[in-house]
Amino acid sequence: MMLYELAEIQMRFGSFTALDIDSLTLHENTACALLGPNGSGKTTLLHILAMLKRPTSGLFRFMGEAVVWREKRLLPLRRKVVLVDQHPIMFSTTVLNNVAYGLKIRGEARSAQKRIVMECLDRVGMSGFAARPAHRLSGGETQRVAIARALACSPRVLLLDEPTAGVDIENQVVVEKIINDLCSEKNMSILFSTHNPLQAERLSRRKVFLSAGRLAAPDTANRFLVKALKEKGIMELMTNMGNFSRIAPVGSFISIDPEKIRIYAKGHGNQGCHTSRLPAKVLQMNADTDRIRVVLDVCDGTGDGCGIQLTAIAGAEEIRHTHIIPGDTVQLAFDTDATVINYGKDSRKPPVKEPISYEK
Amino acid sequence: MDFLTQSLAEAFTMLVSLDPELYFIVWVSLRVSLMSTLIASAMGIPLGFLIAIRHFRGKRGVITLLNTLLALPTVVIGLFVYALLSRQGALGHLGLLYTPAAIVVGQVILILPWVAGFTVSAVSRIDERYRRTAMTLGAGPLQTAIAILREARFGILGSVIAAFGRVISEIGIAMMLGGNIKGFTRTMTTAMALEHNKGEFVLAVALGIVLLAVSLAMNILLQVIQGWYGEDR
Repeated sequence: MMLYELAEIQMRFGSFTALDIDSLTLHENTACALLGPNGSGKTTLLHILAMLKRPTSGLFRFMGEAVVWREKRLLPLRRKVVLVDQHPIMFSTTVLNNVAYGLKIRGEARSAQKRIVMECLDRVGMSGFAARPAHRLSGGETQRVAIARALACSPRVLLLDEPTAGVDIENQVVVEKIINDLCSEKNMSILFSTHNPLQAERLSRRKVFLSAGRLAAPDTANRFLVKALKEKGIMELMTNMGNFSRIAPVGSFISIDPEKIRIYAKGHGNQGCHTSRLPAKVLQMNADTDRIRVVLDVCDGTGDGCGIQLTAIAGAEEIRHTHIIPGDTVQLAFDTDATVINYGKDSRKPPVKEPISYEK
Repeated sequence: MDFLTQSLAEAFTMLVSLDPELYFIVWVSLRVSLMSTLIASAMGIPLGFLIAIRHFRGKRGVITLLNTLLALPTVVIGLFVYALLSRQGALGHLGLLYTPAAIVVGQVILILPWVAGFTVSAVSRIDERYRRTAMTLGAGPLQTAIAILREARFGILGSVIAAFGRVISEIGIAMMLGGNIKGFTRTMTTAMALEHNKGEFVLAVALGIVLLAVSLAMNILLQVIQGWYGEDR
């Protein structure tokens, strides 16, 4: 069943357009990751999906029903969706009362309330905290209790805004496990935003990419502000290699398709017909079914990693032949068709006066 | 100095011997002040809450007006309410002048801006996420409002206590609208002023001690609440 159908949805704040989605559909009982840089509109979209914010314009359908943005009509629909904030806030009472809040609102019997609360707390590993004051919990504990509080409402849709942001590794692992378990066990659809492509890969079947408030191609994983690349000397390195005839304006973004990046061990002579070669250090390698996801730190002119992290996805066999391990310095190559120029928030189309073109 | 110590000693004797006149005055004061605080709270808390959460044209102006009304002199209120309640006044037919009810009307006008104004600031300080959290967990508008008020409860309660402290210690309204009638509208402050004028200091000092004790109790309560508030955040 179709869970959400969005058409021509816009969210404007004055003259600023925070969200502009032509069309988006999300199906039931799936886990979906929402990716995109800061300010791309992820939180705004989640607030709209949670029916907490009314979009400025557009058609919004939930479970096949066109949403009427009137409080009386909205309440029954909103009770099927729960949003867990990036930094959840606890009511100044006990953990038990916090988790029971949604149940009290729904008029659940007191005996059932306690049973459900303990089940939910147990699920997130916080059953020993029931009597504690909720506002004194640590960030990770708060996040777990917030998930338990959401689960107690038995929502059809669970929305999580960067559930592991600002959470230590131990709690991060716990939160990820909860999400993973929920996806497989419960009759629940989960949509979460994250900056971490690896996390998105681990936890979701579908990924939605947002860029400057609009749906973007999946290449957003390697999406960089041209200005940042210039400051780090990376753009210069790329132009010196002769792959771009003209570089995009500093305010624009350049995206590199992770699947079109080739990795060569240092000193490997054959770069084929690829026109870009960048030195980079291997930071991390993860198995992803039959492929390997390699996280690299691009080196600047001095040969040191400059903090620009690039993700490359290659076949396991291909990586095995390179004999590379984390810590190695490698050469990256990609064709010009692996790159896409995205313009800033304010311009929907490339400026006519300065078209972008590449030559080999 | 002897005069003061002698007056204090006699005042304590009066308090310990449960002097009926003294305690009746204390009772009138507490009854009138509690009534006006209750009415002002019932009106001021919802008013302040609405001003804080609603976005409307002229909101800043309303808040500025409330803040200005905090400094409203009691004699000015006394004068205006007198004009309303006197026989020639618009509400003269109610026959409220020189009754405890008239004092309550004046005192409600005095502290309504206090309760509303401090409720506005207490609710405005509450994190926006509380509203969002209540709503996403299924709360309707009223339940969301209750959740926000619950989070702002210590700030609001503090404003109510401060308002009570304001009315119990005021004299202008009680004098002008109550008329200081013995056994009827005589409050602690009006009795103290009268006894002072008569040169009878013992009752005045005894009432002063009670008034200070009430103020002290109010302050201790306020501190305790603020302590809870600090710990709870």
